[in-house]
Amino acid sequence: MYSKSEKRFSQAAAVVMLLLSLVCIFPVVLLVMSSVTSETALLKNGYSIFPEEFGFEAYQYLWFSRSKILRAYGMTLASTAVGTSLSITITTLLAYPLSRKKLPGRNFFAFFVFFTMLFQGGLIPSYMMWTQTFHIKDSFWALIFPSLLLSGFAVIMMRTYFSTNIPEHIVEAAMIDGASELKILTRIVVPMSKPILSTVGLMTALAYWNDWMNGLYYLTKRTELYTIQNLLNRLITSADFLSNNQANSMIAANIQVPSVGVRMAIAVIAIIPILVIYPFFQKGFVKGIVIGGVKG
Amino acid sequence: MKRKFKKMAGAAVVTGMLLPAAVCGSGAKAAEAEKIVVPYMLTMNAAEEKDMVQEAINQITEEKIGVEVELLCIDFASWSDQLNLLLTDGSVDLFNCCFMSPVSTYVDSGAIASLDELLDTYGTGIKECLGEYLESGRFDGNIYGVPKVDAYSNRPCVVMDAEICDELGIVPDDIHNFDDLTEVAHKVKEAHPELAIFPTGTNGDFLGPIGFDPLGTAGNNIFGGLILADNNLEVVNVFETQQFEKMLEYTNTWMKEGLFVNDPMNSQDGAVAYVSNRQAFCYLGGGFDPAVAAEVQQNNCGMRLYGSELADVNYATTDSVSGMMWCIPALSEHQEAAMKFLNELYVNADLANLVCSGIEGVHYVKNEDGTIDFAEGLDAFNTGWPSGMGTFWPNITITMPWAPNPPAYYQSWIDSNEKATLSPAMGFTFNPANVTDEIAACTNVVSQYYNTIVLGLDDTESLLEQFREELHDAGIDAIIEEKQAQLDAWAAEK
Amino acid sequence: MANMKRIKRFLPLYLMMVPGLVYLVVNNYIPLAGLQLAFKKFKYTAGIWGSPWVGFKNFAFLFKTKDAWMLFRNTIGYNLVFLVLNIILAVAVAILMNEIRSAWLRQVSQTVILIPFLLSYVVISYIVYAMFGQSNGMVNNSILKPLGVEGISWYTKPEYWPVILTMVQAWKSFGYNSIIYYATIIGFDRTLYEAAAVDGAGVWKRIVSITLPLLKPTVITLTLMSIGRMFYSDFGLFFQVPMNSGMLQKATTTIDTYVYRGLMETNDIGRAAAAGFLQSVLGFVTVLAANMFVRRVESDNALF
Repeated sequence: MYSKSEKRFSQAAAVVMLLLSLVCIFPVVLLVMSSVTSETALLKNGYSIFPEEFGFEAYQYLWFSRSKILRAYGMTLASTAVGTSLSITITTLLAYPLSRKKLPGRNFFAFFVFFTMLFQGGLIPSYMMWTQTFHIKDSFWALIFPSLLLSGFAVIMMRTYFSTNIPEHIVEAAMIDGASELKILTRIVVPMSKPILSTVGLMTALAYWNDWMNGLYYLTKRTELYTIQNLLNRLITSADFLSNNQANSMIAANIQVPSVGVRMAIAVIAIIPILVIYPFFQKGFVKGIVIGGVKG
Repeated sequence: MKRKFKKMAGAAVVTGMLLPAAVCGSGAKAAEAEKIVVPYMLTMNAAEEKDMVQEAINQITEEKIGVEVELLCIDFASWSDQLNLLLTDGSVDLFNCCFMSPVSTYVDSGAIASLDELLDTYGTGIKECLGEYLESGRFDGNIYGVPKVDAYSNRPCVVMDAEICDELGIVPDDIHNFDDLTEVAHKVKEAHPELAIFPTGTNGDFLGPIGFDPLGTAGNNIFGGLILADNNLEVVNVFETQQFEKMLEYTNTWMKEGLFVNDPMNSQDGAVAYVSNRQAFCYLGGGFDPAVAAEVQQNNCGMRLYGSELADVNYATTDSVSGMMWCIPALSEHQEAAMKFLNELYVNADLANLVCSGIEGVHYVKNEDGTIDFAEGLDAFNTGWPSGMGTFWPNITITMPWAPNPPAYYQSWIDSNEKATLSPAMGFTFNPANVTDEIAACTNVVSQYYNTIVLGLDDTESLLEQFREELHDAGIDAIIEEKQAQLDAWAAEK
Repeated sequence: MANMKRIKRFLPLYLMMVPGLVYLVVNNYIPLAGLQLAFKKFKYTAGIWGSPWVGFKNFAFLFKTKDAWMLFRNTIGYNLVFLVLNIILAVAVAILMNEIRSAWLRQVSQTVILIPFLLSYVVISYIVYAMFGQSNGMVNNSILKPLGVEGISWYTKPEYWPVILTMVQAWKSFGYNSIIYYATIIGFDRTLYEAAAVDGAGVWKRIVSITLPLLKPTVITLTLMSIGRMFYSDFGLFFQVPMNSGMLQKATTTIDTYVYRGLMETNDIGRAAAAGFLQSVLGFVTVLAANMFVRRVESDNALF
């Protein structure tokens, strides 16, 4: 089935990707090794793949917060799941009409979406809006709504995909058959667009997963709603605060904080779950191929 | 210019007894207590038992001053971000302006209320407690911030690994300046070649011994200041003084002789961490008393330390006083109640102990010598009320000190204030509004050159010249001129 | 009548757009009121609308420095390089990924190349330091030393940093950027490829004559979108990765780092808004021009 040159190309592709993967995995190794290096060795030698002396101070420090870390993982999962599904729904609903070449006002709406990517009003007006009009402060919705729910980027990417990958005549044929627009979207367009839905889903999920701004600005009293990023960010700044302010004798307590290793340990803790979840999104990529090829 | 400093503990007791009588009348009806929100900074301890402490606070305040207090715990990590937002809608009523922008910027943007009238009516305790030092919260004629009671003077000192000192026969009392320190450094390096002497050089640590009043600009960004030894009101460009050049000579030589840690410019941790992990011999810092500073640090480092002073005179400036100011937001609807509570924090020892150390028997127990210690089974990590944050509150000096600090620990703060030499510009605060653009440009120049020059990483002489020139281009002269004009106006008024 | 029919026909489509458009109005358009702060002196007690106007005063600090030219040059220069490099890398990686036969390798490499994107620039700055530190860095110790070359003091030599920063940026984002191209490629009509295979076209030919042309709309869209951000720079990359090292500033200062350093102390809301406003307006003008160009050449691919 495959020609010889194809096979060779495929092998070459495999080698290149393998090399690129190594380049990307290297930092993780460095992170893990540094996070189990003793604080003394870190200060002396810097970060290294081969630690001179092992030490688990960083994880001990994190161990103090284990119950909070677990709860924060839960919050992250919940906000990522809820946020991503809501986001995908309204993104698709907005992107699909924009991809229809005959829609009157299409360019205006596209511009309306794109404009939001260029100009931002800033934190204070957004904050006033969300807290004083919508009262989302100190609620779960604070993690979902501000800034993350819909990105102009995702809408435009999806629109481009729809208009390049979904042949116009399929949609028209369905319309002649009497299918409603919603039906066309759910029965024809969505199944044919699994790759882009997975992609946008993944990007949105990553945005929710990595976000700590919303928690920082909108969760003041109910810190039990903190996501893992909020919590880790807080642990890092606390550690930094203590190690930098000890010299000012502000903190007069018996506290020894490993601040260098902790940053590494925290980075490790924050990325591992994503690596676990990622394969679920990958399924979407594969399915797209099968269905996309059915009609021509 | 030297002013006698009131014995605060004494003043506190007196007003503490007098004040309740004055305001107590309305306090009987606790149900009508006015509620205020006060943010409290958390570092690593989550203050799990906040509600318990809050209740105990309210038992005192509702009855005495008719104020109900809600503590809003905010992490250090988000302190300045959240407070800047909370100020937009008046949802806090009283706050400590630490680790935020300088008070003057909040005055300038109308974020905080002028306190003069409130102080006259409800703040007599504060006035008596602070005396002349209250002036450092005055901006453009009105008081906007109230400094906390503290050891105000910041003597430049060096804190050293005691074990090595003993081993090599180094006597801390013999170290008085950078020359002595250099000698000691050589001695230590010879005996322990693998050990670095100085951890970092990036935080303005070495500027201390110059003895100048920065007149309201922080860190390395000294755009015009007074040389305190000259004892006059002439604003000079500190970067062009002999003293600064002299300091560079020392730090450059130290760098050349390999006395710093590796790559000090990229050092990844606070100076204390290097010393406590035995990667460096000493660090420079400020303290009101080197001996006490070392003693306190001892607790943090888990090792014995010695402290020595690096300057003969112990100066207090507006900046060293106003590091932590208490302010009332302009949008607060409970400004009077907030001032009542603030006043109480300065004078009421029971209340001060409560906010600084928690509840007796629950969070701490008294020792025989008058200090306090963690209650059974508690430590800094698992206690329900943070033990190390007492200095956040307005007046820690009327509380019982934590062991192993000496019983008279806070008395020594007050003593050091009495011995302090006040800067001739004490009480003057600079309003940067007219030269904000110049400050922005100069700050960028400092961040480009400062560390390189201090550590002598390149040709210091030519770089210093470039540095000064670019500062001129960026408008440092306009800043200095503005400072001088404001300072002269202030002096004339005085 | 024809109009009514048209509206009726498209009404369902308009209704679909409502939730998204409402969100954009609430989250993006109403807060745009904040843009006026660029021309105002913000007063907490007066609010956004009530604060006094100050004209263009807030913009002055950007041009007060004699390095103003350098700020713009660095910002635009880096962005141009990133733009081109990111497209080439991402498209190449997406194509390679599509050609790999081993499903296992494909899945693993897809996951692994996302890792750099997941790391914050603070953490990346430590990794970079582990590589380029003078005394302990791996480049100096493990590469240059065995070669007999004396170690380089990377953090004091600005001439290396355009390359280092470009590498770091590319490394962090190529995996993420390639996902979108990869998704587009696997969505292509397979029959085109099969037909080409029947015609005896080799891999190379297929890539050049089918994949690349089909990718063009996506490339154009993504490019137009990044042009809008032309005057912004990633603060983490230019501030944290060089560890705020003063000697590198000639190569690492961008508009955003200058604004950060300058306003760090004063937290001046008006001036920060002014800088953002200027960056947006310049980006807007550039992207309008680019879009106009695209529309003239290939109207289907214009953004709007």
